[in-house]
Amino acid sequence: MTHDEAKKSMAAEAYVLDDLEAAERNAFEEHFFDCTDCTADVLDAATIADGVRTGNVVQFRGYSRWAAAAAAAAVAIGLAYNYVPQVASLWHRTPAPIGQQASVPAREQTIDLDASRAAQAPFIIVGNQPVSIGFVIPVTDPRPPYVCELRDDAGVLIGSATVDTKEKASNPVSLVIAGGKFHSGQYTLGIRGDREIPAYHFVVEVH
Amino acid sequence: MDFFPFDDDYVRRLRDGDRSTEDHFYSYFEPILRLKLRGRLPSAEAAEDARQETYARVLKKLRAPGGGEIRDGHAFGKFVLTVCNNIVFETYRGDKHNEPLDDEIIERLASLENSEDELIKEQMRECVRRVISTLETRDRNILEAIFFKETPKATICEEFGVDQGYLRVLLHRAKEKFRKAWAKEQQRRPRDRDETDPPRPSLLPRETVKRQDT
Repeated sequence: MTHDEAKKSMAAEAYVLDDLEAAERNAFEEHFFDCTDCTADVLDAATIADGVRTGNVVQFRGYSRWAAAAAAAAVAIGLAYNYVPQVASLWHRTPAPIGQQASVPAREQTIDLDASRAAQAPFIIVGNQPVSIGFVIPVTDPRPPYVCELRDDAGVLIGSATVDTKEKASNPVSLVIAGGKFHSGQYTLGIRGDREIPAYHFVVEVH
Repeated sequence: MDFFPFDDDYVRRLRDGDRSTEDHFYSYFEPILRLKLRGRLPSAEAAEDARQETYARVLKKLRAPGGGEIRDGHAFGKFVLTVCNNIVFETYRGDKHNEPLDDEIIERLASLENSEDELIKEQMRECVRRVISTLETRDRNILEAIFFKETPKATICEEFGVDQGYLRVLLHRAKEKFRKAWAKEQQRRPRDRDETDPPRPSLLPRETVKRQDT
């Protein structure tokens, strides 16, 4: 497949939409790794798809699977940590892009939200450091996707994540917010999905 | 993420276990394989398994005695997709080989997965979502229907009153508008940007991307 043929047939779009026959798909794949334009077309679609669809769902670092499940279960029956703001720090290693030196890792703080929605004292965070917000999606028999959106008291979207598998929806979820996004005030973490899920409300004080 | 010219040296470094090359291999193909596998396997878990299997088989083939199967480093990208295609076909046919993998390769993959910088990735995704939120409703709905809701194409066509061929046009236009909005966002915020901002992706207006006929 030549570049002109690819452009004329909108092969990149057809590839993304899975409209190509096997032979056409092979021909396009053969072509696009050698073509800056078509590579950009496909990678752009991949980047948009990643941003729209997968969100930023990550498992808690350092938790073993059973520990995460146990934590979720404990939260679900209302036994866990509803009186102390959980402010901890984690260090994330930042892998260097190819050909570059590794940078100093950014410090990240965590806020663990209480699934019982009981009133919690303000969470105190420091400066412009990233914040990881931990929470569970309190449903049985989850049916993803669930869109989790963090907004401030003015309704401005601070960050969002999409939980797209049953396994992720059954485990604690972490929403990572870049440094400098928070100001002192009230925040709401809403979860949209196959059913109505009460939002999390919490207060942050930035020091 | 930009166009990357694979070559024999890249393949050699990957074969030799160079860490930064392995990191690049893993992260470069992640969105490509995700996009490729999206909707072609029965579940997100199956697609994720196929992606991991692709990495593992490529490394295994590269490091096989005799120097592996790749003769031309420039064709490495196509080679990776061919391995992925084979895995998809095996899954369809239900005769997945389940080739035994070396413990060393499994450990390598696990360490690459752990070393991914989720924070930087999330910043990128957040930028994408912010820019998408600035698009006109129709363009936003197209992108969300295709990539997030993964609505069947027939349903999308019905909703938007177009045929399948014209859906490509709508997707193309939505992507172009996204690129322009992305470029505008980058120009609008140059002073706000610092080292914590995500790396700039290949989302450039068309006229700034050099074309290479093949």
